[in-house]
Amino acid sequence: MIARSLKIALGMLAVSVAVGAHAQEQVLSNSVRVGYYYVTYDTHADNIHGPFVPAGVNLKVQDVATPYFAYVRRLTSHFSVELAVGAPPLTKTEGKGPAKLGSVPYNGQVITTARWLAPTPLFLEFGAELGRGANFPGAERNKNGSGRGAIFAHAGGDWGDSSSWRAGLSYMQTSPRDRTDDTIDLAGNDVTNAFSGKSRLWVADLVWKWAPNGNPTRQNFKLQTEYFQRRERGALTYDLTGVAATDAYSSRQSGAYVQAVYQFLPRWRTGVRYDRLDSGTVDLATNAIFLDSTNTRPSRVTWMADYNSSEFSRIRLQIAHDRARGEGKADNQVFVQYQMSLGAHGAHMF
Amino acid sequence: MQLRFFVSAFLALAVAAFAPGADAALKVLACEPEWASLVQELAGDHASVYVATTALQDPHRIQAKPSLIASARSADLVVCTGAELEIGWLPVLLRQSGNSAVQAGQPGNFEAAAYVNKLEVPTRLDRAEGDVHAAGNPHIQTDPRNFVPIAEALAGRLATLDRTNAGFYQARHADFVKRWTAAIERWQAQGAPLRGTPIVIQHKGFPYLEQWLGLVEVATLEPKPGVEPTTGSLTEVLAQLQQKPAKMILRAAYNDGRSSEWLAGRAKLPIVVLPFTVGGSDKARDLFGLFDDTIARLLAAQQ
Repeated sequence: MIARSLKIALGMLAVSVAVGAHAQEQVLSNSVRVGYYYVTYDTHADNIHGPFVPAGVNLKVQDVATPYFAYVRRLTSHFSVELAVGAPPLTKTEGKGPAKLGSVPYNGQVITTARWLAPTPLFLEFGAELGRGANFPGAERNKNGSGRGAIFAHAGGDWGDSSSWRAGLSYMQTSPRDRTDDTIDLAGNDVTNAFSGKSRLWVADLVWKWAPNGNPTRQNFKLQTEYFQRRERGALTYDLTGVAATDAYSSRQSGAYVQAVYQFLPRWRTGVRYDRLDSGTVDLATNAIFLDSTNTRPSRVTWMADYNSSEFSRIRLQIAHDRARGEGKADNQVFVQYQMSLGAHGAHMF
Repeated sequence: MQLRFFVSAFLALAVAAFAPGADAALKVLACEPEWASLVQELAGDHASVYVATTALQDPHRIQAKPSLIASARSADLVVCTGAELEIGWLPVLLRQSGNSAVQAGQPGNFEAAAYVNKLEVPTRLDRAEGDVHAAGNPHIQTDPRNFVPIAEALAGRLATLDRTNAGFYQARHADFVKRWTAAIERWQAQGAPLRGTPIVIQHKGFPYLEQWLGLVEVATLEPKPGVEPTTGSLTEVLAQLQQKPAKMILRAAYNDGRSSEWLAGRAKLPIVVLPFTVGGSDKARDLFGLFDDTIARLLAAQQ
């Protein structure tokens, strides 16, 4: 059963152009990614747009959509992640179908951030952030005031001359009202559900960097990992425009990734990433007769190697074994990606 | 409520993080080891110095890592080269530190390059030329004469920040200048035979040294500043050396050795690994050792 659906997805040629300040947190928020994605999955991939996709081409087959191409671009600074691997981690993707159940994207415009750095030899930073909370897991509420609150703490330091680390813990809380979500019910119909209640998100992260004598020019290594856990409690309205049945809802879902990237020669890097989501426990109360709450654990292993011809351009080969569609449905993907960035090159963040 | 628990846990952590220490010494963050040594010469025990980089790190390519942010947070004085040497990381470091005393333009921010005449100030700025610094070449620490005006300005700055010990700093400065001028005379006498020596350099890191000792730069391994040499560019340098022969290849301790070794083997030239800053060799333990060793290595290669 596993092997049956294991087909090779041939080539994806993606041209990403990052325009503007290629710096710090702007890396993601100001990135404009235009691309041509040629995908042959044994699944379908709808909503594919690109300047090179001929008009009228229908790439729709059946099955669920792939989560790859609708990823959350705006991540807050302390959750930003260098896209060393061409596609963002599953925890940062927002797709349709089963992946959505476990996906825990964290985004939304930041209203204000306050940080306090302890006057200690060990790096200790504490902060709080208020945001609009208009984006998932929040929802637009058309009212004044902050819709999302977060607190975070970071610690960091060195181990000798060669390595340094930073660890962090963040907690976010938001109370979405009528947060809609398109999904497919047990009968196979496309429905729109709405959630109102409280959503809490915990994130733990760790970055460890190593370079011989602290000089990364020739060789360096970076390990980073993040763990997300989201708990929601409130009420879910099934099929907003049809049945409109409202009942209690609670869920506890999680996601994580571990990524290691090694520059073994100047300009050459290789890396691996493992990411997984856990749709966890979902209590739908009486709405369980309409909606699927079976536990799914999508996962993906990716290997990449890239060559940076300069600070401004990069070509990357990436091979992924993807179980994002759930158990027994694996896709093997080969990506060739070319990236270039235009504009000022800012300072390097940790 | 759950949030209240988090907030109080958060505050408890914040308070626990405070390690109150009544340390009277001036807290100094030095971007490069040579400035740490200079502060040590001028302030002695009245300053506790944290060095952001080592001689084995490329000062252009440092990241604003947590340990550096933490030290910038509590620093009374930040001493750096300036002239855009640290442009890739210092602005981030200072911004993240949230320490208003050490921001650019404040008395707590000292830029050594502001007190010397800079060489290689470009007439044209273009990313295509590599890592070119608009303010001129920032590797000012390779000429000992540059330390004279810098030491004077730094002693004055220390006195401004710590008025009670102003006399102490001035006295140490007077003593340092006396010893330093004598040392410069000694180094110049020792280095006299080096005048006119043709050299190949790896990175454009030595114009001040060349000017001081009268070395003649005939080729550079890096095709453009900050861009790693390729086999193609090295072959060009090799061909160039047939026309204009050199005596030695100079590189800094932090530079990767492979390209100079490649060329040294083919052009039959000795490689001189200069400490470049304090800590770059066993003998370069302080500023005096730095130049003793630099001269000694150059003379040894000329034999």
